[in-house]
Amino acid sequence: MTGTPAWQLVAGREIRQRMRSKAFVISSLLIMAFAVAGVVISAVVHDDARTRVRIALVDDAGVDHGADTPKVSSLRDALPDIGIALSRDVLTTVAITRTDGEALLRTGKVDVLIDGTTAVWNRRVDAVQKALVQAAAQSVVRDQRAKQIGLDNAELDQLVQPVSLNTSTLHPRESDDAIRAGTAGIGLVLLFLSIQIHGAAVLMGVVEEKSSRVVEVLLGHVRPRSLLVGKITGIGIVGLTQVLLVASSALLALVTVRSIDAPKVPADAIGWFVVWFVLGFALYATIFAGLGSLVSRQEDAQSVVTPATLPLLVSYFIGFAAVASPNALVARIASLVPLSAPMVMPVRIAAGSPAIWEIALSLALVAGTIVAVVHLAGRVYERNVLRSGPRGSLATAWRSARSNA
Amino acid sequence: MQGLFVDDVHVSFGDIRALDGMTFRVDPGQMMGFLGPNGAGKTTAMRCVLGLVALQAGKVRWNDRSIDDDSRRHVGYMPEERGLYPRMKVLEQVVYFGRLAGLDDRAARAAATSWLARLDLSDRHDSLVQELSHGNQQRVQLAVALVHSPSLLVLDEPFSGLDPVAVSTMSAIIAERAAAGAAVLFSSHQLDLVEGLCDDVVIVSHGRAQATGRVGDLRAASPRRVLRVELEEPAPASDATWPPQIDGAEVTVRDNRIFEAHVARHLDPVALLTAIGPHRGLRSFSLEPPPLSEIFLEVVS
Repeated sequence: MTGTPAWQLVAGREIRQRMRSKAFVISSLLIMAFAVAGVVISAVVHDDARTRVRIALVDDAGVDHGADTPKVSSLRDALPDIGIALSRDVLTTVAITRTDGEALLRTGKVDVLIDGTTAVWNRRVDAVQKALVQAAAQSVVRDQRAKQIGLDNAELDQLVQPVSLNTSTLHPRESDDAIRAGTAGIGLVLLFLSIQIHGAAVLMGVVEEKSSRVVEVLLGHVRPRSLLVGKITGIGIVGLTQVLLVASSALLALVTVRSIDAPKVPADAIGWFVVWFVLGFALYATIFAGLGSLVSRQEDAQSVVTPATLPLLVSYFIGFAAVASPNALVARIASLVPLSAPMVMPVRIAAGSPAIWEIALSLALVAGTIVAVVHLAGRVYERNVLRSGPRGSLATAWRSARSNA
Repeated sequence: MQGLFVDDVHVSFGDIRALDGMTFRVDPGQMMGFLGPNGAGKTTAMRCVLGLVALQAGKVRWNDRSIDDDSRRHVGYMPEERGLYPRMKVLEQVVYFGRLAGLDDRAARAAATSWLARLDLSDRHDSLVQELSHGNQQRVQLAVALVHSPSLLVLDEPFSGLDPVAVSTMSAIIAERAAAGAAVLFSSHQLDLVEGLCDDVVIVSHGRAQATGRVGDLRAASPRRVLRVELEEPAPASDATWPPQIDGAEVTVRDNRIFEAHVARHLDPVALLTAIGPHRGLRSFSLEPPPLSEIFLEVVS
């Protein structure tokens, strides 16, 4: 007799069978395409809408409107400089009349129109753009007033000598918040999809073994627990492979498309998503397997796992809310509740800054729950995997898990 | 004592008593037919041997030790409803089960290849099981049961739904395993087949063994005999001595040439012949114990 434990043989079969299946190849390609597309789209949107500001100025035709109104020519020079300070590329254009300028604004050719001391937006005032225009106008008007009261350039320079402000952060981060929020959102979708797809694979695998009766032959050689553990491990490794493929293609896309430095990508956040995939998958796949053992037909599989897919879906929505407000009370609680933590905690880690103790507690609670669920689902599985006929009820499952016979 | 010993096993499912003191033995080298009507407990008893059903009382022993996961590695099993992965290739599947039974990769591959060759499936190694005909799937199932050279074979209805060619291939292989020393327990509803293959049978009903022994002994022990007389020439309608009058006979066939009836065991053949009439031309005369199928009905009803 050789030393290969049965659960490893079971896991090995799952890996071989699934890795070369069309379903695996197609779903991997689809998710990878989704991840890359997500990165590219968010990068394009980010570049166009966020970092570039197009400003039209209504021409004053060289007429001096007094020191309190910025001259168009001076303002055109000042805007790009101020833009650099605010991480914005400024493009300016001159409109002959106010009407021309409003037409540009209305057709979306420019983001802001400046007419003397008035700034106009199409629909909504953008806070950063407003600060940009305000600061540029301020600096132009300041120079004009200085000239009016007779300050020479040296005196002016002395007056506006910038105060050098030292900056530091308590929790230093290399990447900016926009990238982190993007990572959180894309990561959440991929995490949810991966747990859903591979959890369903475990469910279908259990039901297939029951419906094809192969489980009866298997259990002549393998204990039910080894079969369960082997199956979940095997499919988990397949899932992890897919997750890593997807994560690395998304990273590659991020680095290529945005030409950003690799260190700016929040590698820690991506790493945490992988960790939480493993935990979330282990948790949900085990529940799916236990519930799946209650039915013997593929048609009944989906309905029997509803009690588990519902919390998965709810966690997904809470996760989305947490992308925007990672430190809201709901998100903080949900990141500790074992059923929702695998969706919510990695989002909080990526988009917010949960305390170390929160992460540690959440990990401990989920790990403990997995142990309990493996125990419970293992017993349900053992009791029901040979049962056939009509689907077992949850109540029967619960009784069978508790009884000691 | 070597071999399989199912000793007073009790199993209930809710209110249903599936096994109620089931007891029988199968010795090494013995081919044991396991007979009984549907619902008699055959499949449950076989599942007990495989450890698939928890016993409420009694024991299943193999070579004088309680059967456990370790000794079950020496069991080959064909379940009643076939169990194979439909979307797995034939050779790979047989190798996988060989490995689960404890063979290393090379040994499993060699055994799988040779069994598939014996079962005429050499050209189907890379077919998916679901692409095979029913008969070929059954052959794969037998290969799975045999791949690890088990010393105990438990076969639940191995021949159901097979054509005569497949039946003869598979029964020859099973008989060969028994001749090589394996204990074989197999259930079947095809009683003629069992009678041809097995020396011994267990007949079960209501969860217990009702009769056990050599087929010949069980038949001889029947209180009845089957009498069959066939004439050379049809008896004329006016002949008052045809058909013969025999006390207590249950007549099954009666025409002007053939007479067939169940009679009591102690009936004297010479007296019978005399009653029929020595002057008639007899084509054949036989007085034999009833066939296994009738013993079966006697036992289970």
